[in-house]
Amino acid sequence: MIVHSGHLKEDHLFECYLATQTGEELDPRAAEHLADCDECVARYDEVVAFMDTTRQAADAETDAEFTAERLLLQQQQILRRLEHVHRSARVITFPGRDTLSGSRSVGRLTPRWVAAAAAAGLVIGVAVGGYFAPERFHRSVAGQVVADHPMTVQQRPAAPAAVRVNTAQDDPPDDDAFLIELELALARPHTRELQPFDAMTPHVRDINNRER
Amino acid sequence: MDEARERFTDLVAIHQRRAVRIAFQYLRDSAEADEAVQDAFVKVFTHIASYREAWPFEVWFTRILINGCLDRRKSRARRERWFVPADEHGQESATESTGGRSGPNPEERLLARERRGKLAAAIDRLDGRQRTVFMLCHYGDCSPREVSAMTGINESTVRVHLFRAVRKLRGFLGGKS
Repeated sequence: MIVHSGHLKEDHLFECYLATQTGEELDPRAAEHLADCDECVARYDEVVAFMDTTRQAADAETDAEFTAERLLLQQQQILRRLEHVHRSARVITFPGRDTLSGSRSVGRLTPRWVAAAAAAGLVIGVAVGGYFAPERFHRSVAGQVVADHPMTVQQRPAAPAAVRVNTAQDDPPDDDAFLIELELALARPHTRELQPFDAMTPHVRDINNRER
Repeated sequence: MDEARERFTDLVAIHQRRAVRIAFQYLRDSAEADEAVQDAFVKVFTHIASYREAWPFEVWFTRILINGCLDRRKSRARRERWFVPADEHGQESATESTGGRSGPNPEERLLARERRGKLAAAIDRLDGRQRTVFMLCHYGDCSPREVSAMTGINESTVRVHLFRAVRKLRGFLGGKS
């Protein structure tokens, strides 16, 4: 911190600037000093000029990127996304039962008890599998969820092509989750036997650092 | 629901420009900033029931926006650690390509771009808290009290962070330190 004997310190000058920005009351002693001291006024003006310049640069840059048209487009995109909020996804039955109802052959109809038996068998199988190999079970269930995902669609399929439904914040992308796991794994103690291999393997981060 | 959406549109219009400025300065990528702002508004709409009126709406909204931006920065840093960029020259940011279109002449545009680049790099060199406080106060028009509410940092600490951030920036950019 710069200390000027008999003058306002840098942090006091900054507090004065902040007070004028936020509408707070100026420290009376500082205000009094600023009214009398040209040197401090000059230093204060430097602070104000720096802050104004950086703010103006940011505004100009943002305005150049986000023109009025782009902001309007963004508003429309937000609205389109809001239209999908609170609309539950539905599962498409495939093949559609209604479309096939006329041509379905009677001979292929199965009695209800067969379906019930198959369901019971499946439940027992999953339970036993989960008991004996819980890790594989969880992995396969996760795989099943992923496999099922493409079958769900929004209730309003007629949305314009320009709409981009982004759920990145709610559902982090898979590669991100993978990288988190990877970094956690690397943070754990290394296996001594694998360290020579690790030393021989070029790292992306090293290449990046070298290029910079 | 339709009425709520209509009313929300007005809210978007009021806060959008400020939100875009914060997100863009934070992420330095217009497409990502665009997404972050959209996500923040959608999140606000879906979680509006959890809003408590102890603080102004913009404090709550900015907190959501900033958290989204921070997540994106973390995610980007992680990607940069692990993936070699396909073509660094091809990745010239949208800022570079469109930033100075309204400038009076090419030389001034170039200088302005250079200044902006330096400022962005200097802000990036600030530590996390200082950067957040500076962004919120200076680009987000938030008072230290509001920033304190958003971040959970004590108000006087916010003031100290802000002062130090500005002092560092002036030092980095060749001004007084």
